[in-house]
Amino acid sequence: MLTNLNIELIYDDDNKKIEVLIIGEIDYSNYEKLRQITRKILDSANNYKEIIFNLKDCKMISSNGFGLFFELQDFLINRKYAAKIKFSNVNNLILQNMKILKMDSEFEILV
Amino acid sequence: MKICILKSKKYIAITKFIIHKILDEKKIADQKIDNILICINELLANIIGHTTSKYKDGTVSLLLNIGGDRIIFDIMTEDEKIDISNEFKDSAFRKNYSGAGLYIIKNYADEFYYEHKANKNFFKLIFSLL
Repeated sequence: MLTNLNIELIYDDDNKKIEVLIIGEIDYSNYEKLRQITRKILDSANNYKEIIFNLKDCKMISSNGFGLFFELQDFLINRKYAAKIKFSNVNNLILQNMKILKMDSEFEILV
Repeated sequence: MKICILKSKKYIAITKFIIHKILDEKKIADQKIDNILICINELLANIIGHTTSKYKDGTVSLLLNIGGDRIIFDIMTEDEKIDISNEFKDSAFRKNYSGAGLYIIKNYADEFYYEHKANKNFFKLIFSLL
């Protein structure tokens, strides 16, 4: 049994955005699913300006999950891609953890 | 209440589910439950993720006590001593994408203790209900 997690990718070619809908929780039991998605994003990230993780239906993210966002960020930087990572609809619990890990200084976070 | 699980990540979800149900039935505030579940996830991730091959087939036991104004978790597993002395450095997390779990626990738990004795790791997490 893994913690429930569904991830949907929405490619907005007109606005050069990839929206990543995260539904459920990201924890140690299922964070590899997020890793698979970030690898898929990387395949086409060069064609987009923004990668927006929509956390409207995401209750919790563990440190393993947060690590993957940094990993994705580093891949984008190392490949000199222009795409920026953003987070939208962040709940208080996730925001608090992001601040603990000082993510708010590197990513645009919209509550 | 005692829960005993094998050292496999697939048992983390069911452990969190059981603990959530118990705390919910005890009318613990939702925010406190969220904080506790974050800590349990991070601690089990550390225990299972860093288990040495000699002890990978072992178990992790969690003893939960709710009484007075505190919730106490006593967590035990047979394994080698782990180094928890390294303080979290955001630069290290930034570089290695790991190492933040215990730092998160220390932020949420009111008290956190670790001891290695007779080839066993003992963790105690205390959450105040005040």
